[in-house]
Amino acid sequence: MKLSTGVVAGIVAACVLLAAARAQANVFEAEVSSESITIADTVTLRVVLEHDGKSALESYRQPATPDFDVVRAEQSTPSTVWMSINGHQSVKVTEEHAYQLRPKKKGALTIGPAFARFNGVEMKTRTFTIRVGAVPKNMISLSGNPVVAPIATPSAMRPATEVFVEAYTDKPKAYVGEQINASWRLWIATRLLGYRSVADPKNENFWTEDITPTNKSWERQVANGREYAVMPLLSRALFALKAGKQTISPLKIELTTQQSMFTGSASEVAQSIPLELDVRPLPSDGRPANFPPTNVGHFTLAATVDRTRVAAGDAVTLKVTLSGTGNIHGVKLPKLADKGEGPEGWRAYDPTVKENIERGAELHGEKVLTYLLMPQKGGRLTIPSLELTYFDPKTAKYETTRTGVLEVDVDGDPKRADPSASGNASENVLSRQIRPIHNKRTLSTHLGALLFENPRVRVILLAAPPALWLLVLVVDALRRRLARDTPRSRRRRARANARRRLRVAEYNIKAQRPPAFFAECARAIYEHLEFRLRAKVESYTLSELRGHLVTRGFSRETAEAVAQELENCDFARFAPSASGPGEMRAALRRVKNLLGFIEKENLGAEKEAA
Amino acid sequence: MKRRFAILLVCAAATTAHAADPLLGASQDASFRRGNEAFLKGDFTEAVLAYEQVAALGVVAEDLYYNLGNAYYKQGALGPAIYNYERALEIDPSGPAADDARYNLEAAREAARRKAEDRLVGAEVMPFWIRVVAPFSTSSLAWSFLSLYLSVFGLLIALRFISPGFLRVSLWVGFVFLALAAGASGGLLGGRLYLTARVERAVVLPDAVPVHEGPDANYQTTFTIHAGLPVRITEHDQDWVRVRLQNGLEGWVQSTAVGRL
Repeated sequence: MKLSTGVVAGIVAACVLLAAARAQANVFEAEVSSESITIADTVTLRVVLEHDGKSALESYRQPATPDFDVVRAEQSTPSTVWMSINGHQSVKVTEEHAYQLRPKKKGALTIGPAFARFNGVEMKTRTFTIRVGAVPKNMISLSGNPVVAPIATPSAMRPATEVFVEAYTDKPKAYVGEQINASWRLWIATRLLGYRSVADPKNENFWTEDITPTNKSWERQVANGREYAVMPLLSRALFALKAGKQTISPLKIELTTQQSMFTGSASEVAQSIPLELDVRPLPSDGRPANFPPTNVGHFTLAATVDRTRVAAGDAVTLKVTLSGTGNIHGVKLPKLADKGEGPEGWRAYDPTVKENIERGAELHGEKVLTYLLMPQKGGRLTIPSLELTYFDPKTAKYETTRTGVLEVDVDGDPKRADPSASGNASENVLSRQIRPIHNKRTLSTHLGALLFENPRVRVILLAAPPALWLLVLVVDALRRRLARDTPRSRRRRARANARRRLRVAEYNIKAQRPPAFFAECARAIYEHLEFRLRAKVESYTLSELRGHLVTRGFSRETAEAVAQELENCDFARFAPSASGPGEMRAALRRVKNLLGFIEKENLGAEKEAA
Repeated sequence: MKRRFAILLVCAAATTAHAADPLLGASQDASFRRGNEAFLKGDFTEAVLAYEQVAALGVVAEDLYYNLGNAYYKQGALGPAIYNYERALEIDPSGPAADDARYNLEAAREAARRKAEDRLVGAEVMPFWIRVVAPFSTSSLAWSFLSLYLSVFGLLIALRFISPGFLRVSLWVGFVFLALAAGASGGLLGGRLYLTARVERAVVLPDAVPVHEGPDANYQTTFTIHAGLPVRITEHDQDWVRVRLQNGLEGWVQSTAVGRL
């Protein structure tokens, strides 16, 4: 007994020591968020240290990452947990280090171990190999420019926050109508999950053209000593319509960012500063009267005709091409025709206008006006020169560009060639419009579609015709079966016939008609005998019938009962006053029994067949 | 007594059914006429309201969708206009009203293209069975199949009672042809019903819709689609649907941004 107690005590002590030793074991582990990434991604390495309160952490050395840039390194606040196992008190301290790493190149890159020393014992984590691949073509890259380029950072435009929207223009001052490029860029030093525009920049005193690049790509920039990912949000070409101080309202965007590697996401609104612009009026020196302020830039005007000799009645196509840089869309061109009246000797129709504008840092392109000219007389006709005066902001001067004079020879007299040409024909241009509504009084619905789109109705519609067909088959088979002449069918018919006779007889009891009642009873007996004998027996006298029945195989008792009942019926038919309802009901019961006896008589197969 | 009661019940049910339908039909027709009158007076907002009221009652009629498309077109809402023309054509792609709907649909698409055009690079080829069944309307297929199906069984019943001879042989030949035709139209009808029920086709309604990486507005916008663009819905997630463009490009948009055909 003493021995066993000692063994148990020893086991318990061993368990306590083991648990205490386990509680005191230090943990030093590392893990990565992914072992396969693209060159545009980052990988997060977490290093966890767990040690008890007694063993002090003497040193910690972060892992070697020669193939990676450390984008961010964070250390969590150490957490302390007090535990009690079997009365043994212990303290556990946990701290975590996290590193966001960006690969410098593609391939299999290595993250070395982290080192820690506890009470003179050095521990290290495992080594990781990260496979870094190329960026898929359709993916927006966060590392479009892997070279981190420090740039000048005007402090007013680039505050030292994690996220901000930068707004800037390519020039602070410009003439009315001169192109100013305004851009807005997003600077972000944290992980961006998504963004959306809340308010666009506005000012109604500008004509604007969107010149935002279609492929927005991120680039890395350093500002205020911090590394940012930078993406263009919006770019606009602005053409001022009014002189003076002008303000472009800020661009506002709502961003969703990852706050930290230890916490979740958060939304915030970022906005740019408003842009202040100084718009100078166009100089008055050398300005022509009624000069349109949109004719600012550098332009060239040219004119061509499709042929220089035409027959009377044929038209000439004149193309006037304006090309150059500036707000080509807004430039007001000189008119060749006014209300159909063209140059001397011509009738001009309204031109078609086609623009081909390249939207970039400097808007450039061309605008082509195509006129249809009808000669109104024969001989050599001229198309006069067209002039365009514009203001060139680069030279700060008004310039004039003009087309050459064009000459066209018209063979014959157009009025003689086509008398209708002299009339006031007007072009009726009918552009594509929609056809009118269907003005009906009622709506016709599509029952067929409704029926078959309802699963229940669909099943009924599909099942009904085969079910009807099967029903017809069954009924027809039954009908044919009933029509066959077999002993069983004969018996069925005889029974039905007898039941009908007896129902009539019963009715006659209620109607107080004894002769009719007894006549029906006699008919029922005769017909049942004929069914068994398959021969007429009504012509027999009662004594002949009795003998005949015995001859055919009926028992003497049945033959006697039949004769007796038929005699009773004959008597009652001719002396009806002697039969009351009681007698008739008794007679009905006897006849029912007698019919049963007649049916049960075994006449033998040969006799029955005979 | 029971028999009389049953007959009375049947008569009452039939009378109620007949009485209810005309009332509902009259209300629909009145709203439809109100929409037409508003349209003809130039009050397109009122016309849209009246037509939408009829559509909300579950009425499926190509004239209704056609007129609704016209009212939206006149309001400048090209996405809903295209959507309703497509619905009209969906009901009856070959009927007398289909020509008008097709013409106006093209006009609306042209107007939408002038605003913004979605040019899809490398369009996928539509599956063969969709190309076969899409030109037919469910209603016309339903009626043709039903008449053929009933004729097949009518002939089967008649053949049961017709004695052998020339007439019986002729009816058997007719039966074989009718059965083949019923099978073909049944196959087409089945395909059309499957297309309507399982292949969720839709049209973009607003002028511009940002397409996100996932079913939430916080996900990154990957591209933008514009009014009238036909898409297929491949997945639902609460108020978001995953759409597939004709070139296989996919993304998530809010379910209200597309109209299901």
